Amino acid sequence: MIRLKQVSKIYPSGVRAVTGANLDVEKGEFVFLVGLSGAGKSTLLKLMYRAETATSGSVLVSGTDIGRLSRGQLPVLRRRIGVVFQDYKLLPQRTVFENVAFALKVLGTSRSEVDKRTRSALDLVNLREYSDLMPGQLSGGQQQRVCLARAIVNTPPLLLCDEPTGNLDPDTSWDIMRLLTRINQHGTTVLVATHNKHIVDSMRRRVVALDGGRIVQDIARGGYPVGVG
Amino acid sequence: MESVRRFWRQVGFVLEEAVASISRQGWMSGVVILTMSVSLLILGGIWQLSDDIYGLSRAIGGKVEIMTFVREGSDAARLSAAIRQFPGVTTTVVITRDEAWTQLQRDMRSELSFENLLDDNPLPDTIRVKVDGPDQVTPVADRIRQLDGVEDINYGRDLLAKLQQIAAFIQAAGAIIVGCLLVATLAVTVNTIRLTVQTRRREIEIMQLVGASNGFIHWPFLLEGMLFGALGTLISSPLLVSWRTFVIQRLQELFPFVPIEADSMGTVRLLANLLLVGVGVGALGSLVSVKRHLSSG
Ligand SMILES: Nc1ncnc2c1ncn2[C@@H]1O[C@H](COP(=O)(O)OP(=O)(O)OP(=O)(O)O)[C@@H](O)[C@H]1O
Ligand SMILES: [Mg+2]
Repeated sequence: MIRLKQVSKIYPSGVRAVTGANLDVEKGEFVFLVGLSGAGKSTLLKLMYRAETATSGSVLVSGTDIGRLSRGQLPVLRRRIGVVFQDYKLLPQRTVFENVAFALKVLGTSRSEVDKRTRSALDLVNLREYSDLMPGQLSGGQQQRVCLARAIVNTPPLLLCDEPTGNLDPDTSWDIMRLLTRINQHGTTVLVATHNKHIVDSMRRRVVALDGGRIVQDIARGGYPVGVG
Repeated sequence: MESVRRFWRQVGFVLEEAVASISRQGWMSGVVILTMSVSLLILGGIWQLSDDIYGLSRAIGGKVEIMTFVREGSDAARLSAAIRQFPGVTTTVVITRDEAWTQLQRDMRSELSFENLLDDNPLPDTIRVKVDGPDQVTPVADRIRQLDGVEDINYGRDLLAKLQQIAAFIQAAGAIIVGCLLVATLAVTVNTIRLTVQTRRREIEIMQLVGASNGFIHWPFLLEGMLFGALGTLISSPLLVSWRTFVIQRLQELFPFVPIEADSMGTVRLLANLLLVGVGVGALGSLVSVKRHLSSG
């Protein structure tokens, strides 16, 4: 699904955010990305949906070197990737339903299909009865679930989550993690960048640890590494 | 087939979005529309003023007649028929020396009595030639002068030259001013529409994130800009119409001898032009704003 070969990212400011990263993620895997603040987790995810381009090395998604995609080909990649953010990035002036439907409508999906898929995405995150509310009327956890619904409504094979529980209390965080597990069970490859030691420790999934932009540990059924974070 | 349907669904979505976004942005849309309507009002007002003054100068020029004095012994009717064939000539009227004499005597009677002073008619036969427009006067006059049997012609050459100078000046100055105003309107539009693009940063971000094509992302903004322009024109239209009526009245008072018709066609043409400019400037303005935003983001 994802293959990083000697990937480095140096921001124009001169910061070396990622250095010589090699990583293979198989289809259907669930992977945690952990590391201290500033370790390069967000940057690594951004390289995967090409919000940033690698300074050197190559990033392959489903076999395609995405660094070589033209501006015109980029949307095709994006349709195959769902992204969840710590700060949700919902559109404040649209209802919950519209926020999720938006992702389908801009792609020209038919009305009946939009309705059907939006409803089932909202069902999955348990927000069906909140359809007509505005994001501002929801709790943080509920907003994160809307963000999640929007990310998966187009059924992308790859889901990237950047600190999806960063602003949530432990109980709500577990709700989100259960949802991500469910989505993963449907065959979606899931990558989660997180600081949440407790969750990483309890889930016993693959853990990739970053330190100073380098991948320092990669354990199949790991916990939060000692000495990191 | 499916791709065609997909396309039309996207068109529908874009239309919905453009209208919804204008109302969603409330006062911001109001500011953009008002700014555009004020800009268009100034632009349209000056454009139309220069147009009307230009029209007036041509109308005055069009009043110029070529008085052709026929040499004694030549056939005025035959000359008149020949002149009527010239390109640009609309009418020719022969005034025989007798008619002219009677006319002159009638005109002058109250001021001075000729009757005993001059028994002998000193006037030649005259042909009054009217032409299509002021541009035709000089070439037609030159051809008439060449004709056999023409003693002399008179057509207020200096007045005509002045008028043509004035008309050319007004046309040039008007074009330059309107051009400058157009650029200013565009600048104002770009800057106000940029505000609305700013507030929709997140929307653009999400569209890019979920894989909307770049071209598609432009469309809602493009349409919104066009709607802004159309609404701006709509607001400034009634003011412009009354302004035009006012200007024409004023001009008519200043030049009572020239019939200036405030034809409704002129007004319609003006408004249609302005709508075109408004919609065009709105579209261009939002395109520039979005392009800038996308390339900076
Ligand atoms: N757009 C940017 N321009 C310049 N430097 C950046 C940019 N984004 C991140 N950085 C720098 O790159 C390094 C890695 O940042 P990154 O956001 O990837 O870390 P992170 O592991 O996600 O941290 P956090 O846990 O705080 O989210 C940091 O030093 C950061 O300051
Ligand atoms: Mg981060």
